[in-house]
Amino acid sequence: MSRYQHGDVRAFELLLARHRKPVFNFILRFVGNRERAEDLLQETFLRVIKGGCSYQREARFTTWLYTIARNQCIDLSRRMKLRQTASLDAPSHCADADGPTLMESVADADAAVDRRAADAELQGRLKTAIERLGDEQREVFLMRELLHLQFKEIAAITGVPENTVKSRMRYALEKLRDQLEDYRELARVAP
Amino acid sequence: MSRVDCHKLDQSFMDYLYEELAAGEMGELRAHLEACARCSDEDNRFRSLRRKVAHLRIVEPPEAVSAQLMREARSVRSGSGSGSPWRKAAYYATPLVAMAAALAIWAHARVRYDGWAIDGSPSTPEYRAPAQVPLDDAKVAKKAPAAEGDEAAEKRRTMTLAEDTSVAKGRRPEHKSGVVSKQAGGPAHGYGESRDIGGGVAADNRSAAPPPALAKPAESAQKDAAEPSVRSDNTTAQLEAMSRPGERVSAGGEGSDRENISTRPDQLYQQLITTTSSNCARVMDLVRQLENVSWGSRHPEQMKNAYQLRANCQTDEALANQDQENARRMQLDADNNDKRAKARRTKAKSHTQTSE
Repeated sequence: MSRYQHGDVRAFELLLARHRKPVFNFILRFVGNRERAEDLLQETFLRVIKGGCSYQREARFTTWLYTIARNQCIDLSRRMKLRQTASLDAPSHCADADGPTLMESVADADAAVDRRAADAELQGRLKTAIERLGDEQREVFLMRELLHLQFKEIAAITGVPENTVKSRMRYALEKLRDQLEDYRELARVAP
Repeated sequence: MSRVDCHKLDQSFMDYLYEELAAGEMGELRAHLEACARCSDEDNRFRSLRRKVAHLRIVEPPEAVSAQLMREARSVRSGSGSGSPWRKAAYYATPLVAMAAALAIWAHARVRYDGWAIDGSPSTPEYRAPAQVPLDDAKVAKKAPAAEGDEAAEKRRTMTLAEDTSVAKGRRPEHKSGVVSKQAGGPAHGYGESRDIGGGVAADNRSAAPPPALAKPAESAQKDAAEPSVRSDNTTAQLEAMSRPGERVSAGGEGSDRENISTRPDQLYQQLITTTSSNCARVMDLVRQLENVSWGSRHPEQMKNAYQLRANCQTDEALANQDQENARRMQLDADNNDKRAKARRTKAKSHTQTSE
């Protein structure tokens, strides 16, 4: 990042190559919509570009980057909640439990993988279960499991004490476990 | 003998599960798990879940976004701001062109249609209302602000206006800078709290002031954000004419070759509530347009939502409060409308019963 701050555009290219995939997947799992996730990915890195001069080396770049991404997600989440309460004639763009799953929506890009039925089912179940988490639990869960951040880093990003992060993580895992419990049963039954 | 009991394990369980403890502590907890069937079962259930979660597919982000970001990074670092000289020229020329076009159309409409009475009938073939054109074509039009022939200038004005009034579904990176304006200059969002997200994240998320270096892009972003606003103001008169509720305005080519422009207030509202998250420039623009066509008085519920969306985008606290106040006012109007409707229904019902 410091190289980019000194005008090395190639350094930004490396940053983008290194972080775009985890950031995108974090956003994608958070917002549950590919198109919006692409927009937020773009906006997140645009903020890095425009705010590059302000980045301070004492903060880890990933912490700074994921803070930006996380705030974008929360902003969208708030908007979506507002839209859910909007007038009845407004079209609903929110996640629909009966609609296509996220995995189905992204399947076009990589259909071969989705053909594995068991995996597809698990993906769908996971997606639904993650979507059902509250925002606070979901972000902590995704940062820990997808981004592999430590609890103290998550605490720095979310601005809450580390113990709160751990307790949100535990609630998230318990909820997911409850929702995916029967999948384990199915797996056991399967030959 | 293990010094760890079930309570101690429970307290440190997340650290243990994700191996964030020192080796000694990990060993103690592991020893307890080997001795305690209940804790061991709990541990196994969480680990089983983690194995399932590990199957979460990692999705590849689109290359197009990366390419766009690289272009932006190059333009920023090369000191050209957020675009080429053409874009800069267009930035300064667009409001002037839009203003001239709006004035011309306003004057034209006044003369030909006697006070906005646009009937769209085929008997007015001379009327050349702006037609929708592809976005790229419109941008080309913006890039050529220099003097040309009258015919070309008229065409350019028409195209520019069409871009203003068309559905802005396509990405317009120069307007996305408005997002940066709001978020770089002002506080970012936390859950119920305002947080700065400058470089010093680890220091204090809540009290840190916006870094000065962030303020600079914010200024340029505000500039960018101002662009659609100015153009919006200039097309207000046009919208006023074209956007009467329930009225679909004909426009476009000559004679019978006409097409509709999607700028009815209800369509503006649809655009508003489907606008990309954080695209504050667009939100502000659309709400302003809705205000200008006086649509909210008949649709207070929708207008309340519009004000709330705009309040989220305001960087000025006073303006945000004003929008919140407007939203409350609209909510009151909506409630009153409901009460009146209910009273009417009750009255009609009692009248029916009486007559029976």
